[in-house]
Amino acid sequence: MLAQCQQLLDRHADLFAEIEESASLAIVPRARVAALCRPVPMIVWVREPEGMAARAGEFGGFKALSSDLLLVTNDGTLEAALERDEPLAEIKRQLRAGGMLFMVLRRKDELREHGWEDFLEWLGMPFVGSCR
Amino acid sequence: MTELKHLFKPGRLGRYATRNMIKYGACCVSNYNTRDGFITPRELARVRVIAGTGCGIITNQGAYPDPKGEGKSYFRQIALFDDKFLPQFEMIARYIHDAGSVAIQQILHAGRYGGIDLGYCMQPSVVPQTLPHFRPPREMSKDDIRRCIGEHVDAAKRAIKAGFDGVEVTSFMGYLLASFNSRFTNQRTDEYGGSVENRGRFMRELIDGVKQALPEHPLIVRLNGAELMDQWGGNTEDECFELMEQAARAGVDQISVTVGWQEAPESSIGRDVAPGHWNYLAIRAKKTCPGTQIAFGNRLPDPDMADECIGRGEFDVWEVCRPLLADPQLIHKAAEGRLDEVRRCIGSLNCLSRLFRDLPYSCTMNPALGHEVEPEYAITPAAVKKKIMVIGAGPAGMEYAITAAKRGHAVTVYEKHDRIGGNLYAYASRDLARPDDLMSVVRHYEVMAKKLGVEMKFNTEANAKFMRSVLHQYDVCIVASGARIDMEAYAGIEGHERLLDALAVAHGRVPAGMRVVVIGGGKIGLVLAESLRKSGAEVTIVEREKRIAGDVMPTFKWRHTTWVEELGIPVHTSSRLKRVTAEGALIVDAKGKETLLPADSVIAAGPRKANQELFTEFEWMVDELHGCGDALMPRGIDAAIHEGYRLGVRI
Repeated sequence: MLAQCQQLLDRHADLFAEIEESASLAIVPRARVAALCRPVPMIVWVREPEGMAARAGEFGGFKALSSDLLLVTNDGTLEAALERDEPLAEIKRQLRAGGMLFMVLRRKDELREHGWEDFLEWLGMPFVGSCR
Repeated sequence: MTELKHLFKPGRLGRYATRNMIKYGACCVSNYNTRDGFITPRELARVRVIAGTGCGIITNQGAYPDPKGEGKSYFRQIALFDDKFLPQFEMIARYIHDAGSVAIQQILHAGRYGGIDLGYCMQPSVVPQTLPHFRPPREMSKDDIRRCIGEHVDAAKRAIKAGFDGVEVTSFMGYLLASFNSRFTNQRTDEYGGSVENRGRFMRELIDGVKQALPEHPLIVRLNGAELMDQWGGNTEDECFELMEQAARAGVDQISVTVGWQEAPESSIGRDVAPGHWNYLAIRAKKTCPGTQIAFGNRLPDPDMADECIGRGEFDVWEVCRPLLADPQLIHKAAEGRLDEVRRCIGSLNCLSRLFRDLPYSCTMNPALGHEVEPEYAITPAAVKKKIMVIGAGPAGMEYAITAAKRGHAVTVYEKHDRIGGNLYAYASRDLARPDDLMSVVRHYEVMAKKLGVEMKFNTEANAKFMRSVLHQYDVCIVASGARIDMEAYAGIEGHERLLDALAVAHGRVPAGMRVVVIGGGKIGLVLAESLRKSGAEVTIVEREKRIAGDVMPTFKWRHTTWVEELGIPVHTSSRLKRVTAEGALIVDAKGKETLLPADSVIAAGPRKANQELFTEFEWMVDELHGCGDALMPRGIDAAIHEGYRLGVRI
């Protein structure tokens, strides 16, 4: 999955162009998400000097997570999305359909400073909600 | 006169008699008040209008109950944590009583969506936000819980002291009470978390606290019939109704059934949700809590529909807010059999779009909302009655025309086509969400023009020659000629003569083929592309900017992007048209890569240009010359209606 994630990140490099170095997004299966837990494997999309990279990491609960964003995925949804022709569009669709959930671990101004605005806008996150 | 006998029958709320079964619901906060929670003259003037709506029960907008502002969710939300706020609350209670209604004060502790001035928000457990707009969470200790309940009780007592008859605690939208009730946000392991019984403990203690302090006064809670968060681990509908049962057993006098959280992945009140869609939740609430009054109104904007629902016993009280913001005379018009005159809420969610930008709310359909305190916005008899000609029967021209006619002017509208509505008509007829909402604006103008004696002259193009033929017949000319697609912007492009005008296609004046490229991913291009795709054409959108929907209302952006995806419309962003040939459109992206998009029709849907030429042509031909709407600068329905009205009350 790391290789597929890397392909996705390379393909959408424009969306992540403004991300500050070491800012990251963690991806964890929903069954493993808790405030605190024993370390379990996760995927991290992290900004490195050459660009965004997909790396393996360990998730010890969102209280201990240093990432800016956490993408929580239902069983099989990430794998299925990465198989698609347009994986990021499928992630966006899954966010609407409830197959995936974004958790925001920083304030809006911090996310903006870390360069996530384009990505979040592309996903339509500022416009989600039943009042919309 | 009325046939809405169920809506207009007398009722009761606790020990108070109500004149009908209609409740003005405090569905959102106005943001008209001071940053530190005081009610302003602007708010008082608005509430005075609301008090006059004719509802049996009127709820004043939610006040946060705590001095720290942990419960504060909107920048200019009102506060009720101290007696220093009471003088204005007393005035509001008096306005409501003077109008013959039962006065309810809502207490709104936003919990997960609170702490707007702080760096954090309070929650039963630390569950990160899903929307970037809100603050990082802190877990409430048991001391925090006790303090918070005490603050709610004190705020309730204060409301009664100010003269209100009862209070309402809102658990709508994921606010504090909702986040205790929900499995998604309540992951506590003590007696306030775990089972539904435990999760409902905070609510029961809150109800008990208020009821013990104010046993004679009605208490209302707003509870979710559906959170729309169940896919993310929130409550199922079954759990929502178990909680509702707990509230009923705890002794609340009315349950207001609501739908959805602010962060839910689906919409509950937008134009794409059909009226009546959520009624099943009210029906279930009525069955679940047979001894408790049930109020309901989510996506139920029409009085006749509400009357039928009450008649069928689906709920007891019609709870309505946004339709009364759009037309504060709605209830009176319904009572007098004048429903055809109602300015319907079109569900544009302009109100909420502005709130989520921390601005005071406004209403597309009611330009006076929020300006009630300003005499300049009132429709008053004109000091000098004038003969006025209006060029263009779109929303700007018609809004101006009916406002001027109400003031006593003699108004004639000249329209080059054969109907009222201008480009809104084409837009509405191609709208995927709910064409009837936008078409109601056109119908409203048709009805009111007739009732107010506005003379309509169709199929008449206003130009210098025409103006000479009516020279000295009018005192005032209003140019409301709208905007067009700027086809001249394509003059340098090879094959530009093959381009079709999006507005001509949208109006049905020019047919499009079955393989279409739409140049411009703004609202005109999107609506046209979606409707052509829906009719079976292959459609591709080309947009110069990085993203589509740049000129779309924030609350509607995601609908268009979703429709584009669902309909399988390819989108080329950061791309521009280079050439149009018999084979299609040649486009070039930001990196210079050229792509030929095969098409039998290439449609220009932007840029737009104001139809301003008449200002120059008529300058020396009429005493007063004014303009409004897109004829000044291309924007949209909101600016058109508001400018038409503002000009109407002035001239």
